[in-house]
Amino acid sequence: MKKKRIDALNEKAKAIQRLADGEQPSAAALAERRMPQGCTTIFDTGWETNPRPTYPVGNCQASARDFHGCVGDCWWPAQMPDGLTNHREFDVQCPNVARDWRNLKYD
Amino acid sequence: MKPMWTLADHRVFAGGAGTEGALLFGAEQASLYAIDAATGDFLDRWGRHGAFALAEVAPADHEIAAALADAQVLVPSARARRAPRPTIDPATVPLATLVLEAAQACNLRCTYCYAGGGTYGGAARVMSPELAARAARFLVEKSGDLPRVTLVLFGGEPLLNLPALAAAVAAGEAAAAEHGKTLVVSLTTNGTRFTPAALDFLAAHRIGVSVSIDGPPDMHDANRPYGGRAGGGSYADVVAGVARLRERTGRAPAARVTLAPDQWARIPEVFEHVLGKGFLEVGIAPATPVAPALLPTPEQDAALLAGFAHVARRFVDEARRGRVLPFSNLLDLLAKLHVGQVRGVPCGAGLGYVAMDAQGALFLCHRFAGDDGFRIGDLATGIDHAKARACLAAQAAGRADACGTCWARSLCAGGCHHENHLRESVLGLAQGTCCDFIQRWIELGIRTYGELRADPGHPVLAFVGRRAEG
Amino acid sequence: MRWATVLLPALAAAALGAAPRADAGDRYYYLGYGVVQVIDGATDTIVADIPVKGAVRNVDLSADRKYLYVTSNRHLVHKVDLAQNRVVATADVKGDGWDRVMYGFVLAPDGKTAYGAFMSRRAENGEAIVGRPVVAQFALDTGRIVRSVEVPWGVAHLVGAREGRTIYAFGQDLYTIDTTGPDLRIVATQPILDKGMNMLPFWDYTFDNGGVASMNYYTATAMGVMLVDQKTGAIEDLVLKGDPAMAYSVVLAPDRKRAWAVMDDLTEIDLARKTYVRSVPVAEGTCYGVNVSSDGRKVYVAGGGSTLTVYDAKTLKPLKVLQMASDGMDLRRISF
Repeated sequence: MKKKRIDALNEKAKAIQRLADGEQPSAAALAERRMPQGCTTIFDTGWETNPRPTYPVGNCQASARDFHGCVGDCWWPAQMPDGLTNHREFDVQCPNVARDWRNLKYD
Repeated sequence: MKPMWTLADHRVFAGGAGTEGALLFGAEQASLYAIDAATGDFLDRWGRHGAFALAEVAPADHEIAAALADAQVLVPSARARRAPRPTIDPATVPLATLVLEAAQACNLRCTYCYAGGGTYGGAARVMSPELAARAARFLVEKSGDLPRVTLVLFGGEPLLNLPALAAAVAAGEAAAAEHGKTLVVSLTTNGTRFTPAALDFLAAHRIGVSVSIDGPPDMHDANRPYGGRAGGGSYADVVAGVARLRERTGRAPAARVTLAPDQWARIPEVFEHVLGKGFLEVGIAPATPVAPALLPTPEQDAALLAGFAHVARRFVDEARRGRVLPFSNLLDLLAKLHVGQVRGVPCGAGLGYVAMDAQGALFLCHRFAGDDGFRIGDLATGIDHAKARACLAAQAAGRADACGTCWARSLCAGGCHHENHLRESVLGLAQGTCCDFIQRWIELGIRTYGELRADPGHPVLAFVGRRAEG
Repeated sequence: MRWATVLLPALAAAALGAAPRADAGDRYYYLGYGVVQVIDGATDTIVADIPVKGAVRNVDLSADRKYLYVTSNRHLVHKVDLAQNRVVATADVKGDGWDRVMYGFVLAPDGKTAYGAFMSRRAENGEAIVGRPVVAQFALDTGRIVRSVEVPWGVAHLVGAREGRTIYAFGQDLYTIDTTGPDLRIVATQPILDKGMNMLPFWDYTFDNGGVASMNYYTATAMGVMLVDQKTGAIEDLVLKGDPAMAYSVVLAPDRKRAWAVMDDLTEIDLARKTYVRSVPVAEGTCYGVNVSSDGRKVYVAGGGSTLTVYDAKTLKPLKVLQMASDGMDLRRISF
């Protein structure tokens, strides 16, 4: 794949780029309305998606609010402590993620 | 007539360690791009021309020109002139944050205090609970359609006046419930007054707490001694207090560090020390130059930046391991860069953000309490929008030219009103003595952001994005 | 006025009052981590904390509405006395050498047993042995399995119907299990995933809805709501028109003409017209659970994070935000 000469990094640059893309409709624009199914990577916890154009798109707001739902007993492969085998007492350590996140201890 | 093109105001920064190419920052829109070497050359070459016709550009470079036009860095000359930022009329902005100077008194005598030992001039005095309650209701009632308002409990040392704090929060919560709004309460304290009653209050209302702590004992105690005959450093009491606060509320407070210029060389050490004391985040502020002795030398400014750069490097290292190093200064800057925030004003002072002193007088911001030049009404008669407008216009006066050509204008918009006021009106310095530091700091943020972005799936950016939201 | 009409109900109430019981009205049960918190629906205040070991997942209500059975950490079953707001007994489905996790939980009508969907494993000579996934009936006092049936794929959620004669097991497919014979038997399999339906049926609100389980799912283009009538066992599948609203869970309004869904937004659904009525973002952020007062006037969203927001159902303006002790899984309503 050819490397792009100029790559939008922040949200503003991406918005400007989208504007430019809008003037020249492309297949990429059509793809935007597709609803992702299945799981996401790393900190994008869970399968859930969100069509609102705020950050993070396609994710819980904030991802901390989906942390416990992803811990262990749910099966999507988000990067979370495994609550069924290795971190069974995770809820004791961190019952309220927004408050207790500094107590998170898992490898 | 040939259509002429111009490169809009921009800056190119070398990419951080481990990144190819360079970073392109669009000054007008705070847009940020990664560019390859050929694009960098193009910008360098054509940046020295004024307007040029695309016919002058070699065919091999047309692809670059088109990409830069898409990015709105290469613009038709007719559109290259900067649009003046619209001024905001204070009367149109609903009240979002009210800072209560609940106790204009303090049990510490910090060396760099901008509030004259907490009183903001004059004798020590405290706000009556009745006035505090009225102020909280005022905040909710003047907040228009905003779903969320913030009440800041401030001083002096606010915990010297727990009855007023309790009255304000109770009244604010009741008014918020009545109006279907959310009330957020935060408190900034010196950390020496976490009595059982104070802790009960903070826990019951889930109040976000910031504690001032200036590093290891020798530095903290030098900066933040007790007043009165007892004197002595406050470090041991603060650390013990923070432990009790965490125990009682289950929440870690944020740390607010203030350092004098001769302490800036120790920033990395201070950051690590304070982080190790169990704070949620650590923010570091250079002391405001309330006296000429606190004005830094160029060497000290360089040490400040080097210190921040050191912690920023640590931030990137941690980010590579998927962890967020809670350095407030950098997180805030990265959040603004992430969004590409364009500000017409440097802060919300007088524009939805107002402070009230112990007698009910309103001021442009908490730092101006007691200064009649920045008084913008009182609780009984409401916010004097004409006065707020005049204060803001006076602050902006004379800056238009310098700011208009500064590449950092979108993110800075003129800097802190209080800092500018002290430097220019009190100490008699020329305008713009902070600019160099601010530009370097923003540049550091851009490089750091570029490094984080170089790893496209970077989880820490999700955290930063969330912070940018609110 | 005849005094008897006034006095007799009062006397009856006094007689019942001899034993402790919850006051009349709506109670909401916030399923948290290490705690179930009780919210009084009249005042929308937290009136009790019930300490419960573990991360609460499923609940079911006893037929006499005196006990709430609460499962946690996917293997504990706590019996909560709703009058005293405390755990009076706990059973563990692990034991007999198997390490089990339970997804889905419904009480059997006998009051002594319940059904759970289990996955299991154990170690033998240092080797891991993985058990076949099953739906099993187990004793509530001991946690011991009474009988079970293997299912082709692990099951996420159970709904009981026809007075316990049928158990629906939702997962990759929907299995209909007949419980009336000596053995549990799968009598029907309906595809879910193969029909392009993406379902996360953890929240069904069967007792809150007055005996109808409500679960939403997604196809590539739409959101659907699946309704299971507990009494008849009938399954109704409503595909909503328009761009899908994103939701984890759906609860029925008491008149069953409308429904409320929540994830990042709170969305009102017109079930008769199969359309979305309106939607507001939840200011506090994503929520897993949604519920509605028995008079239909207030909507509650909670879980995910540690907030509970009460909305005016008419205006969709938030009336109150409660800060809960922990993050949560769901919010359930019991009307006394």
